[in-house]
Amino acid sequence: MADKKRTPSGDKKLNHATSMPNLHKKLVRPVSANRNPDTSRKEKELPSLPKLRVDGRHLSAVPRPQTFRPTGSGQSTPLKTSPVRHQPKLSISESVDSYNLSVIDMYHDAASIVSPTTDVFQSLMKLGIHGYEDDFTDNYSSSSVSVADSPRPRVHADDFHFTDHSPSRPHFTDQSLTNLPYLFPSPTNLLFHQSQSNHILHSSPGRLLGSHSTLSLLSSRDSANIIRNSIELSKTSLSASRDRYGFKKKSQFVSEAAYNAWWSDYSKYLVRRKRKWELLMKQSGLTYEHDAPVRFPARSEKVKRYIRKGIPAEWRGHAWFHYARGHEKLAQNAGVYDAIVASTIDLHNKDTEIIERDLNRTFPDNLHFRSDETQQQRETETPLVQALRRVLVAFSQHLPTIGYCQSLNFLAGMLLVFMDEERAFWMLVIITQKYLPGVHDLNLEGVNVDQGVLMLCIKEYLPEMWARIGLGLDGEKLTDGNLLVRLPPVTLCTASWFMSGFIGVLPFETVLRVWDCIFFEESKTLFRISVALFDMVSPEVTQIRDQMEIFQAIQNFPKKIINPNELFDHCFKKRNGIGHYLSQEEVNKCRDFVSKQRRSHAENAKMYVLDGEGERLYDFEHRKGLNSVAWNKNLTLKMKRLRKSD
Amino acid sequence: MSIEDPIPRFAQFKLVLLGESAVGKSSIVHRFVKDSFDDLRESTIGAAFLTQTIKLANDTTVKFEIWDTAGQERYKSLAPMYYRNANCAVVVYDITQLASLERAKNWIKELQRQANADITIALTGNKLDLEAEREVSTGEAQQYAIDNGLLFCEVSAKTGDGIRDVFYRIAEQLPVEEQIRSTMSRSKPRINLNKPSTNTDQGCAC
Ligand SMILES: Nc1nc2c(ncn2[C@@H]2O[C@H](COP(=O)(O)OP(=O)(O)O)[C@@H](O)[C@H]2O)c(=O)[nH]1
Ligand SMILES: [Mg+2]
Repeated sequence: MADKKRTPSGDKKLNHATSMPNLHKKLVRPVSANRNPDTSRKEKELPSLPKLRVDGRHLSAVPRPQTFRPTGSGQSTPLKTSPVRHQPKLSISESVDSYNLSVIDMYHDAASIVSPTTDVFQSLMKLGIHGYEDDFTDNYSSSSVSVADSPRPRVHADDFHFTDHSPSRPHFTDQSLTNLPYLFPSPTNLLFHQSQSNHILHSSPGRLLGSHSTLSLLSSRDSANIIRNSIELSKTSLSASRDRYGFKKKSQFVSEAAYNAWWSDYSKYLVRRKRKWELLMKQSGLTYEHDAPVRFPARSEKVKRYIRKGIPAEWRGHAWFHYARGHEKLAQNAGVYDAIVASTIDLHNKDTEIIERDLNRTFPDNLHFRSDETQQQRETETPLVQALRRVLVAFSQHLPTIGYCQSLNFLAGMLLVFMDEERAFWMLVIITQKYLPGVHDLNLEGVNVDQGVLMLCIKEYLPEMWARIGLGLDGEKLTDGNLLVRLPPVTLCTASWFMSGFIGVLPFETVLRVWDCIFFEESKTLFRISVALFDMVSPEVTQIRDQMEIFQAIQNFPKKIINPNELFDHCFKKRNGIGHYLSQEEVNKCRDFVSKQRRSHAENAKMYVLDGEGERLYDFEHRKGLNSVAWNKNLTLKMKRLRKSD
Repeated sequence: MSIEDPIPRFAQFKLVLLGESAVGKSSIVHRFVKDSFDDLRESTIGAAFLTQTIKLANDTTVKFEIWDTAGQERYKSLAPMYYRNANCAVVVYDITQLASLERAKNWIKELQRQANADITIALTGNKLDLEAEREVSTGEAQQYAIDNGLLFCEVSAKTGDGIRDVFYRIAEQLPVEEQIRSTMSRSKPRINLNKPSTNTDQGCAC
């Protein structure tokens, strides 16, 4: 906070932060209370729509925007121009206006469930979303592919019906409501879900904004949703140079050929796992209709095992949200995200400055974050980048003790691939509070604490590795008394493992598997995986004497682990696999211990930190050092017992 | 040293890159190590370790251990780890961002206070290709460098302009002979003597 005060923009941020409680109060009031009285009149003015064809049926969708005027804007003239024009950065053909976008969005959803049609494909092309040509041709010989061949269950057009008073809007039957709303991510989803009525457009929380920003916001969100749906729809094909998420297969450490060789096996594994999951869902009395289940089996050893073997990719967004208790968070904070977005839309401060610099450095090799078609398209922002901006700016306002920290861009970017931005926002809040506490704080103390914990684990479980890395910057051996304060330099590298949850550290499919476990098994996963990585790189490292080369080996090794099972087998199956020893309680206890020890050093022994040699001067710290040994002994005993029982 | 000296003349130094986020630190390193510029660069989290060797006159090889850092203010608490024991520092600013020079000056002050007394510092203005958007005049930055006894360069990681120069000029200032002498006087040579540069297969993690 202190350094923020230096700049005028920093002050602005403070003001925003202090006014937040009010804002929250304003937000929790029911959406309907906010309705403009002349909403109904406006509705009558809405023209009927061209019919859209879905699998041989006709489907009307939401009205075009010409006569629609957002409420609460105080603007009396109807909006005549296309909202897209108010948002020059949106990379969408001008012929597609924002409401057509939401039509396409819903249409796309419905259509993609039935079968990916050329219409959907064309919609994607129109929106500048490329790269799925292969997927369509690989998987479906023509657009009129039979429903039975479709990998996705069919949605019945009967699930849509139209009410008397608002003939132009799709509605859901009670029965379909339980499943369908989740197919329409926010804001559409939010609207259906909250109001389940005919106030689709008018009840949008986004209308707290002025008219222009409301429309551009809605259209930008809708476009982001379309992209996300296109990700869901896609499959990694051997002939494409990118994976199903839009990432280049080739990296500095993995060739495209190596990727394909691995993928042809791994994709079969994924199919097998999916079948197992479907069975598990049935046994748990849960449905996976439309291939988009929202509820998942209760916690059990079996479920844990299944999750360690990977959640089906197309279920991930919901599964993560479910196990991380996102629904609770969202329910407690209905409308809050939209209000923060509304209040921060023109915000400029130190955080937003750094956010701006990171936006085009987040997944630059991903099609959905940075198009590679033409120079011009490169310079236009993709809808996911716009969503990323909103989430990060909103987050920096919502949690001012964190603000913006580099690496949050990767966490949020990853979430946005799998869920709509409101959920991504709340997941980011949950991750930074529950799974990575303090890791992104202003002083990064949380990440130092976690590195301390990790180093204690290495010392305990991998003594040979510790002999290599447990050195200070002068090459001196770190002692129990000082290792937690003077962390070994390799922690500069491992800090990023925690800060970005292994994004950019492990190959993408491998990161996904780690994230599956994090939301079910909590943060011990991060430590287990980290120690497993150290164990795996150990044979290489023990051959090296030069510290810098050791760091590079540790830094680069994870990027080569293209096969997640290799890492997971090592972590959980192999004899002595670290994955079996480190409990969450142990991690919590150890975090506590490290944090206390570092604090006491900082408070009582400033000299110690600067001086570097003085631990013996302070009896108190020396005792703490002994405690750390005791703590380690405890782990050793535990480990021995476990080994015996193996 | 005589020409028939059987032991190759080799010295190794720690180099740290400092400067505000997005001034182009990682791009400069990448240009130096790989001689390429990647428009699609991810922001650096924590730190990235790289190495590169250069050949000087009279058959001397200098290996740089490069510590590329994250630029955000809050990494300050990790900064001592970055620059402790560093023999040299490249402090980067962006010639199109006046504020980035101020940040560079702060880094320099911190280095002068906290780092090795004999550290070689190169103040480096990047993005020279964006001359039209220049906010920092060459004169102003150069004067600051002279006043503080720093090397000064303007470069472009994008075009490669001036990049090699930065590292060669730093190498000239480093106590190369001193290190070689002390290596010689030890009974056992350094184990990584004559080892080829590792950057061919272990690259940038930024
Ligand atoms: N025009 C231009 N852009 C550059 C140059 N060097 C870096 N950049 C761009 O500046 C941005 C930040 O670069 P990066 O190396 O990630 O900065 P770092 O945060 O200091 O490591 C990236 O978008 C680069 O493409 C340069 O010499 N010229
Ligand atoms: Mg960088």
